[in-house]
Amino acid sequence: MTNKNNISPNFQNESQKPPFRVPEDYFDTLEERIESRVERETEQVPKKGKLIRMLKPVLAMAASFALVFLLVYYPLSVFLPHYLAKQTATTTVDQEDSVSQDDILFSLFPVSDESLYEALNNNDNTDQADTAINADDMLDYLSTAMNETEIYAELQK
Amino acid sequence: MKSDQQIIAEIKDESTKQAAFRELVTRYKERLYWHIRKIVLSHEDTDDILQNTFVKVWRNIDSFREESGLFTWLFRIATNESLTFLNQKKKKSFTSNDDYGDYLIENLQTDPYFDGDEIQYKLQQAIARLPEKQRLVFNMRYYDDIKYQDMEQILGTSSGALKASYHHAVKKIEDYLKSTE
Repeated sequence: MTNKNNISPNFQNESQKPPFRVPEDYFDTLEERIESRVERETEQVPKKGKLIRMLKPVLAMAASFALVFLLVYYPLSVFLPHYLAKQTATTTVDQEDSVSQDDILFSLFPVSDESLYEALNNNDNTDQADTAINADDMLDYLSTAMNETEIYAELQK
Repeated sequence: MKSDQQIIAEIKDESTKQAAFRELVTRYKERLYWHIRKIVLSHEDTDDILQNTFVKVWRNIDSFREESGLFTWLFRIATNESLTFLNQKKKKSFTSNDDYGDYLIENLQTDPYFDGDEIQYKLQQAIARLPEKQRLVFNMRYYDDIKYQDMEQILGTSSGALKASYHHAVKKIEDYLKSTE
């Protein structure tokens, strides 16, 4: 025993082997156990890594949606249930209206370009005919509410 | 008998990997076992850590650049695994102590494989009470007679600091033994 290792005269005659035992045959079977452990670990790691890599973006997106739902929709439905119900009803009615108008215009009255142009021209003529007021009709209309002097003044304008 | 370099070369070759790895385990299992056992004391803990160490060796052997010797590389992995294990134990027990002395002494008291006399039991208690670095240095120097030069690579500390740690450890152990006489 060299001086550098001596820590006390009590240890002059002590062995410098650690005072521990191992279970019987422990070292004899160690290689097999380590090899099977290595085999298990190397099989598990890539599968786990691959699955996590594949699921990570999907899980992140799902988590974001869940978070938005919890932060916005859930508190509204708990604290303002009437407001939310009203909003939902209005939205539904608007959607129904717009859908029905579209259905009528595009499914019940299918028109070609020519017929549409013709119909627009006819509408223009009709509007002009309707807006041209007969002078006699005007006189009849005015005479019911005004005296002759007022009628004369209106006609002179 | 094959050299360490030869074993490493064979492990890096897929066709001889399994057989060469077994050879490496056979060659170093006992030295690594006792190195770990002296750090954590319990046989069960040592068995877990030893297996973890060899799994790490298997996974990382391709990145081993042979700048340091195989022996120091293996001891470094085993030391790190042991300290990580003890740190996890410390976190689980929510202890505020900087060291794991209490856990180690408890291991020592309940260890069915402790095979020493009363003086050796006291010595183990004194070692368990040392700070982490001093405990590692003392065990490596006192029991394994590892050179400071190799310890530098295993622990990543300069020779001077290691020598100082060893002498501090010896002083503390002597004081403890005197106080319990």
